[in-house]
Amino acid sequence: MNRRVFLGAGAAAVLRADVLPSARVSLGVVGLGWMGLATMKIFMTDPRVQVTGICDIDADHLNEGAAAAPDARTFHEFEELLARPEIDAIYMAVPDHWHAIVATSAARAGKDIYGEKPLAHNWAEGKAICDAVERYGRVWQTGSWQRSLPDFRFACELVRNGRIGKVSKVEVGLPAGLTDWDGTGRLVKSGPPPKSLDWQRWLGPAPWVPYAAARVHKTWRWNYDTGGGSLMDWVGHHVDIAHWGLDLDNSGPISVEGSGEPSPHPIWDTPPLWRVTARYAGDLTMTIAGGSAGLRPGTRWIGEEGWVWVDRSGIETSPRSLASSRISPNEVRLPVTQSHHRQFVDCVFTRGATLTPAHVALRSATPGYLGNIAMRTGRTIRWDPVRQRILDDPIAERLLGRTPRSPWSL
Amino acid sequence: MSPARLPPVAARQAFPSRGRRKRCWRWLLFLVTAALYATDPEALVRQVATYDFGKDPSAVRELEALALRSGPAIEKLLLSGLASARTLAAKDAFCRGLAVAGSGAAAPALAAMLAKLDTAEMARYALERIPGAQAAARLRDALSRTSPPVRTGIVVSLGRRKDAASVPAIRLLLDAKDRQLAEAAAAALGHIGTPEAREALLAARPSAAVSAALLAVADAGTYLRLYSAAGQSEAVRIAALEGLARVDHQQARPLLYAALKSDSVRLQAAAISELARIEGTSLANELPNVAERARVQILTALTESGRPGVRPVLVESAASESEATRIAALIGLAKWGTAADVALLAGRAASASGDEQSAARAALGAIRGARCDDAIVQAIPGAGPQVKVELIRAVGERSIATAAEVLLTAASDTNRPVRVESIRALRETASPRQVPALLALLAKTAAENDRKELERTVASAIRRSKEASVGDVIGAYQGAANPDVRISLMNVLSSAGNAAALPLIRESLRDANADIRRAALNALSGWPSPEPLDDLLALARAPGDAARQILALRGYIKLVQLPSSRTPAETAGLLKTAMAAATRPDEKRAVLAVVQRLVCPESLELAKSVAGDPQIAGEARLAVTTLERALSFVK
Repeated sequence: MNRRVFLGAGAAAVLRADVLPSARVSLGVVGLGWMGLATMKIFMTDPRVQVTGICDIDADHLNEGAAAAPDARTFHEFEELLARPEIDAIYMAVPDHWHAIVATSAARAGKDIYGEKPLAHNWAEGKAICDAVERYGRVWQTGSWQRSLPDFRFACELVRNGRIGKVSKVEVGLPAGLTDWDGTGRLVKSGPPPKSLDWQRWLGPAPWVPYAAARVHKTWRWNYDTGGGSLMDWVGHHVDIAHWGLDLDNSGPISVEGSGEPSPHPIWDTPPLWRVTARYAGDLTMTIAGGSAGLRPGTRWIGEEGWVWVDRSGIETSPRSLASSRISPNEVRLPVTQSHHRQFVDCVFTRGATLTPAHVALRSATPGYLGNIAMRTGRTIRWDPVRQRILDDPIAERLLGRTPRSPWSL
Repeated sequence: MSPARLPPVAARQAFPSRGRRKRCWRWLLFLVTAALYATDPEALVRQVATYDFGKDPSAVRELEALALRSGPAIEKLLLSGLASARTLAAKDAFCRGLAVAGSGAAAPALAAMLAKLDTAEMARYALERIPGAQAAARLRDALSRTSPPVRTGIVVSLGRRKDAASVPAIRLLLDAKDRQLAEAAAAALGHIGTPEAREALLAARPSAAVSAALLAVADAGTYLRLYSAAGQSEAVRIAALEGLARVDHQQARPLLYAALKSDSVRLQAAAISELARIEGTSLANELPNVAERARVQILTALTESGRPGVRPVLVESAASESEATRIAALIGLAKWGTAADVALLAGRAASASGDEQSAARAALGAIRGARCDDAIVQAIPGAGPQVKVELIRAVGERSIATAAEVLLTAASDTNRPVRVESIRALRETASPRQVPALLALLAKTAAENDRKELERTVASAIRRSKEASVGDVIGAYQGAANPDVRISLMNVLSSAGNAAALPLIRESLRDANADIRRAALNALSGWPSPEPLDDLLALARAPGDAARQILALRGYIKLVQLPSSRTPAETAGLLKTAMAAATRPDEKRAVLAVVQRLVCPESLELAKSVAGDPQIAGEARLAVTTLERALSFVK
């Protein structure tokens, strides 16, 4: 791999004062659960960032956050945090069903946003985020941080530069769903929520259901009301990379079909095992499978003259010599970033373009949204990637969005 | 909601054998239930009608799947179920079905549910998504008959439906005492977006919600009003200014230039972004008049805008007194620089430090065009040592294959930084054709550090060939008398990973020189593929040298983890062998660490088998727990 020099943050890195009303980026953190707390600590390692506000509707999470960022103001409701004029930007790590409301509110409040993937709970809410970010001129970075790692970038450059010839197939291997991350899988009985948790707020725009421990925190992804299964958990990583390698950041599939195992769990209704096939113009097929023994975890592009595989453990190529090849400046070179989080901070200063803006995140997530719709309807979904519309299936079209529970709206 | 089922073959492949019986029962139950309901949908509806939260949701999921797959064909069935539903959970289930399968025919029954607080939300969930005039009319009718919390939701739904007919009713709610209702009314009018809706918003009492809604429907006049009105938030003013610049840049231009000089850095940043788009490089005329932060933003915006004529601006700014400005200019030159900038960039890379040096190096490595490569290579011989180092670094960065001969010459330079940088650059550029010359250089290199650099360079050149041919290296090894050179060549062979070198390495395991024997063992342990597993196992089991046994076993454990075509069960077998060969707790723990990540019944069995070993009992128990948990879920 080229020992390419990091390029991008230089100018921002030496602007220590007067770029923003405060000397540093004043960061608010919304959502301090599993992901939120860990990523907040990453942001805190950047000397240009000061975490000044934190927010969670679980008092236990908020207390953990306050212990890690003792100088930050604490908030129960995100609206209070967004109302603080000194906050320049937010890091958002709430469950998927909250993404759109928090993100569009933040854009309206003039905050820049680093939002976790997938972009939103459903396609329509993702589009609403894109519109709000555009309308209010905000900087947006999606948490698709694999784009900032050298192996992924190099793999995509190999594919982009035709080193494996014309690509006809892409295989995206993802983990199975329904992993019981915090041991709450058996706690399915309805009952009163713990005192530390504001259950009504946690549900927010999702349809009302009674509290059960299996619905919240580390396993909300497994329920369609609040997440999109392991497909939507990972679509913003390995499918995002697949798209990046194929220069599909402004395009998408033309049809998607899918099938999956019915969930045996009484609350988690997303499939434990599944397989989605997305077809693109130019005779390209992408297979995305969760928990499939036949598909290696990671992203593999298969071309006429070889293949490239990449995941977090490394990169492999056929022929093997490809892995030692070089990308010259006269070929397509993708942006080199020091870290995904720092690049967001750079752009807050310079107002430059992030690696993963909202409209790209929507494109990367679209095969996932359509894949879930295909699985649930049992039909092949035809998609117009230019107008971004489902074709000839009014029932499926209704699943692109959903009605938020009152009083929430976008 | 049940997804479409996987074909049975795929399911068998995906599920591990453990727990299969339990899952088979679940499957069987599901299939029987599905088959039953498929033949008797009315039975399914009766079943759902008594459903409550916490109970078995199979029938609910089947109903939802039926609705998604059948559409309007089952609307009547869903409505009959809704009428007979005994619980809120059941009503919710039927409403979800109607949300996707319902038509205007469902509107009356759903509208009736809007009157009650506990059913209003589920009814609206369905009504909002049912297309056609009937559902919209029912929602509008309910506006005057419902309490504020329900009314707020209805207003939201009418807005999301873009129901123009509801504008007269919704505009009356803009002044509602209930704040959420008033905000929802404003947002709804913004969604509807008709001239009447915009007129209603323009006439409304100013508020954040009204401003946000107006931004969604604004024309130039509205943007201007929002930008100029007192009391607007900075976020709204920025959005209005950007909006105006998009729809009428002539009108926006003076405002943008005024904003460029404002005290608000956020407003200033927005102005820069729009002016860069509208004005192009003439915006650079403002560089002397603005603060450092704005200069950086102007250069960033011009760089990203791709407007012609940006390069001279960048070159001039690269000489600024402000470090941040210089860096922003260098970053821009990475994109827009030409061969004419090679001297500037190389000189800056040699003289600057920190971020500025990084930016200059990055730019020198990134400027495009074949002439850039030539300019860099041609500048090397005449450059002073520091600039030469930067030029050579750029050759490596740019992988300029034609520079190999120049680099080979520079690799023997008396100046060590030049020498080392050349060897490193050759690592990026040398092809298999240069291997003999590199080997000759290695053979005569006395400094160990330089030789280490060369080892990596030779290996890299070899790996670049399709066959990773190591014939030249083997020949050089056999011809070398100096043990240090032989060890270096052994390292090269290991790194190249060509099986043709294995006989030589096996032979070297018996060399009279202990350092060479040790290097041969290291070469096997560092092999990039699992090929020498058997060699390492034999060494680990061989009696005598305990240190060799340990190193060999560690190498074995390392190679087991490399990618291969083995099944997990086969890998577990290799780990079992390693565990049997291990005598010390360190190696046993290393084996367990791998076992723990290998999710298969055989690795669980192995972890259990050593749980009684007092040296590693704790780690073994942890591995057992981890694997049991991992195996209890479908992978």
